[in-house]
This record gives sequence, structure tokens and C-alpha cells, in this order.
Amino acid sequence: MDLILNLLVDGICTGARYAILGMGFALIFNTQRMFDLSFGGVYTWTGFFFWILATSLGIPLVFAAIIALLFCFALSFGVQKLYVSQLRKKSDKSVSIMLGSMAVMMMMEAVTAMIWGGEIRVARMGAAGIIKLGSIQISDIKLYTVICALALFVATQYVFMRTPLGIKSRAIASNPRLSVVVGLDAEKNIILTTCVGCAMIGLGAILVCADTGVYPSIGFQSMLIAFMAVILGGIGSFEGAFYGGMLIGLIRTLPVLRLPTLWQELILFAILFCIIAFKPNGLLGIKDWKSEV
Amino acid sequence: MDYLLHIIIMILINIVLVVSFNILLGYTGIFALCHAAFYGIGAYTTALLMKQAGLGFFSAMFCAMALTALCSLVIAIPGLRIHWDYMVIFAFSFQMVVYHLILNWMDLTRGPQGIAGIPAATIFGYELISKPSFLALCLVLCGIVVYMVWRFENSFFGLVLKGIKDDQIAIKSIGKDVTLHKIVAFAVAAGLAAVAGALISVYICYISPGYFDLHMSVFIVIALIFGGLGSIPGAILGTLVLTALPELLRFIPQLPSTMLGGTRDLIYACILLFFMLFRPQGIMGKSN
Repeated sequence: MDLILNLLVDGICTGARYAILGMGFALIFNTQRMFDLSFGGVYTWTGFFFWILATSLGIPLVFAAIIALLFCFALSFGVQKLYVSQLRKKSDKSVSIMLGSMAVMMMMEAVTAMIWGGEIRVARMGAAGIIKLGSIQISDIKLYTVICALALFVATQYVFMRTPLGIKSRAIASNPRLSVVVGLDAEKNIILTTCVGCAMIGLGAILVCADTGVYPSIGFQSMLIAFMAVILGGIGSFEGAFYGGMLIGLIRTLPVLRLPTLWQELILFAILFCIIAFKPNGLLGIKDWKSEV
Repeated sequence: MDYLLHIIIMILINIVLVVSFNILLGYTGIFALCHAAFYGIGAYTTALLMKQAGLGFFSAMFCAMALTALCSLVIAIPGLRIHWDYMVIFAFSFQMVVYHLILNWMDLTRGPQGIAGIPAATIFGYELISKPSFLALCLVLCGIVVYMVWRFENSFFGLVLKGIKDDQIAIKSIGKDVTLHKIVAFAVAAGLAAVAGALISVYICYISPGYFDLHMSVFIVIALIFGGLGSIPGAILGTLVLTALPELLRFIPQLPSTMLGGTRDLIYACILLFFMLFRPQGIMGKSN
């Protein structure tokens, strides 16, 4: 019973981590309607930047996190401005955006691997703070992750539904041409929303770096997870991305009870495969998104 | 000399892969990031049939081609009903499922240890163990595959595929079954990828899951984009350059061996970055 309870809590914490990724990607994807994958590289660099701040420079974790978040925002702005935006101007095919942004991610990861090697880097020195609740043990960073995920869930709902930025980006997503006609600067809004999404993903990187550590190819893995969370929950839906992330966390932890750990990934991808084959709109997705063949 | 032969053999095997992938991305315009999965299925089927069932190389290769073509239906039939953007993720998840299946199905594939001791290919009782003789086999098979794809491209069927890439609705309106054409294109591409798989499994006489991961799929895509979509000379050129380039890095004395992988990835990424922005049709592709 204790094992099941601990696994459940662990699953929720992992799920919260994935939910942050999923919501960040949902923000990017729902505005652009393109598979812009450059956020994977931003994830890796933010994690490593935070690690350098916290260990080499010895800045307290909270301040390091704030500086790393600002860095993440600036970095994603640079990536968008210098490359992805240029690419978007040249071609409106999603294959070129996807491949180009994948190249950005590959480049950033390769540079990281060349400079720092492939080892796992953890930002926090010393033992992790363990919180005990009865028979449940949980590290404090994991608890913060859950709190952050819930806060971001509420915040993105509010920002996306109520604030001008959110309303503009929804307008651009639903009809790019018409939104230009009524005087919206589509490109500016897309870049801004993408940067906000990247900052959310960067927050995920910071939390992971403080808890279990980052390595160069973690950006790619996180990209996969974010992708899956959005597909599983349903494209075009925020709640979907949140629940999708949570579900992936539980799927990854709970089968440990009965199956060898190696099978987790297989189960995950098999579920993704089946979802796309039989229910391509995801669990909570909007129905009309590009359903024509 | 042996090293040079090794590189040439690897280039020939990769040419088979890239040229067959050209049928999907180059002609039909289906972006299926799972070619390494077909390659893997072909390689493992050949290896197991030759080692466990004692089949000869060619009969094992034909079985592998048939099985891989069948496996391609698993993603072609549901995949082509859904929208293009989903197809990418769908193929991608197929790649991951196959990779993890190879990695974890210990009884069949021996997992991460890989399959060792695959018998060498024999033709008329002559064992192709030495590199020059194997190179000859590769040359012949690669030549046949390239010729077949070239004929396929210029056949009526190939023209319909090109039409599907440009304007699917127009092709539908003249009474062609678009889905059927796409499924056949998938099966042909997968079957030809199995030829490359058969070659690699008898070449080193050892295969492990690492050869067939996502990086291989990405490599195939980059090689095709570099050379030029929808162009056979382009696909050959792209494979040649991208296979030989990382090998040339070994001759730079200042570069430590630990940085080889990173440098290679960086070069691939920069090539993709540059080509997507400035020349999306590749070196030899036709611009439209």
C-alpha cells in the first residue's frame, strides 16, 4: 500500500513536470499552429545556464532561477527573431518550420555536449530537502513543481482567455489573414507568445536542474514529452495539455508495479500511436482543427 | 585501404536508404520520420532468418522485404486518413515503438546486446567475407535499387505520386485512388529500406538497436534535403557527402575523440539550418 501511495505521489510530481512542458508547448503551438521545436534547445541551455549560476557562481537558487528565466526569455526571443521568424517569412509549410526548428535544437544540444560533455549536472549542492507526510516521502523541489504547475495552469487560463495578449494570439491562431486585416501585428504577437511559452518551459528546466539534473539531450526528451502531452490532451486545448502531462507522468510511474522499468517508454509510445490512430483529436481536443484530408 | 572500403560500403548502404526514402518525401511528399524503423525491421528479420532458420542470404532478404512492406501498412493505412501534420508524429511514434520493441524484446532480439554471429552472405557456395567481394554485392544491389527507383519515378505510377505531392485534389478528380497510391508508395519504400537492412546485418555480422534509432531517421532526412528532394542524383550526392564528412573529422588531429559525436551533430544541424532557410529544395532539387 505504501509503495502504491508513494508511486502515485511520484507519478503526480512527474506529471506536474510534464504538465508544465505541455502547457508551454500548447501556448506556442496554439498560436503558431506550427511544430516549432526550437524550445528543446532553449530548455537545455536554460538548464545549463541555471546550473552555472548556481554552482560556479554560487548565486542562491531563487535568484539564479529568476536570472535564468530572464535569460530563457531573451534566448527564445533571439532564436525566434534570428531564425524561426525568418523561416516563417520564407515558407508557410509546416515541414520547413519543423525541420528548421529541429535543426536549431540539434545545434544547441550539440554545442552543449561539446563544451560540457554528456554528464548529468545538478544545480543543488548537498542533500535534497525531503518532506515526510506519514509514509510518503517527497523532495521539496518536487512539491514546488506541483505548485508551479497548478499556478501556471490557472495563470495561462487567465492570460489566454482574458488579457489582450491572449485574445490577440487566439485571434491569430483561428484566422491569421483576417487578424492581419483588422490591424494585428501577427508576427510580433506570435514571437511574444512563443517567448512566454518558452519561459514556461524554461521554468520546467530550472526545476529539473535543481532536482534530478540536466544533460545535453534532455531538451530533445522534453520536446518529445511536451509533444505527447499536447497530442494526448488534444491539440488546441490548454486543459488538455495539462491533463495530458499529468497522465504521461502517471503512465510512466505506475506500470513499475508490475512491469520492468524498460517497458515504460514502449507503453508510452504505443499509447501515443493508438491515440493518433483512433482518436486524432486527443482526449479534449477541438474537433475542427484541420480535419480535412 | 580496408577503411576506405568500409566507408564506400557504408555509403552504398545509406544510398539505398536515402533513395528509397526519396519515394516518400521526395515524390509523394509524405514526411514519415520512421525510415530507420523499416531499416531495423529488415535487418533484424534477415539476421534472425539467417541465424535461426538457416536461410540463405537472398531468400532471407526477400522475406525481410515482404515483412517490412507489411509492417509499413500498419502506419500507412491509419496514417493516411489523418492530416499531414499528424502523420509526422504518427510515423515518429512508430519509429519509437519499433526501436523500443527491438531494445526490450529480449527473447527475440537479445535487447541491447544485439545479435552477433550472423552468417556471411553466400552466393553459389562462395562466402562474401572479404571486403572487396562484399563491396561487389553492395554495388550490384545498390545499382538495382537505384535503377528500380528511377524506373518507378518515370513510370505512370510515379507520375501520379508526383501529382499527389503537387495537387492531391486534382489527382482525385481524374479518378485516381490517392490513398491506394500512397499505401503502395509506403510499401515500396519500406521494402527497399529492408534491402539496406539485409546488407548491414550480413556486413558486420552483428546488429544492435543503436543502428536503428531516431538519429538514423533524422540522418536520412538531412541527407535527402541536402542533396535535393525528388532527385536521385541529389539523394546519392547527399548521402555521399554526409556519410564521408564525419569520417573526415577523424583526420583532424586537434579534435579529441570525445568531441567527434558533438561536432558531427553540429555539422548536420548547421547544414539543415542553412538549407531550410536558403535552399529548401536542396543542391540538386527542382525549385517550385
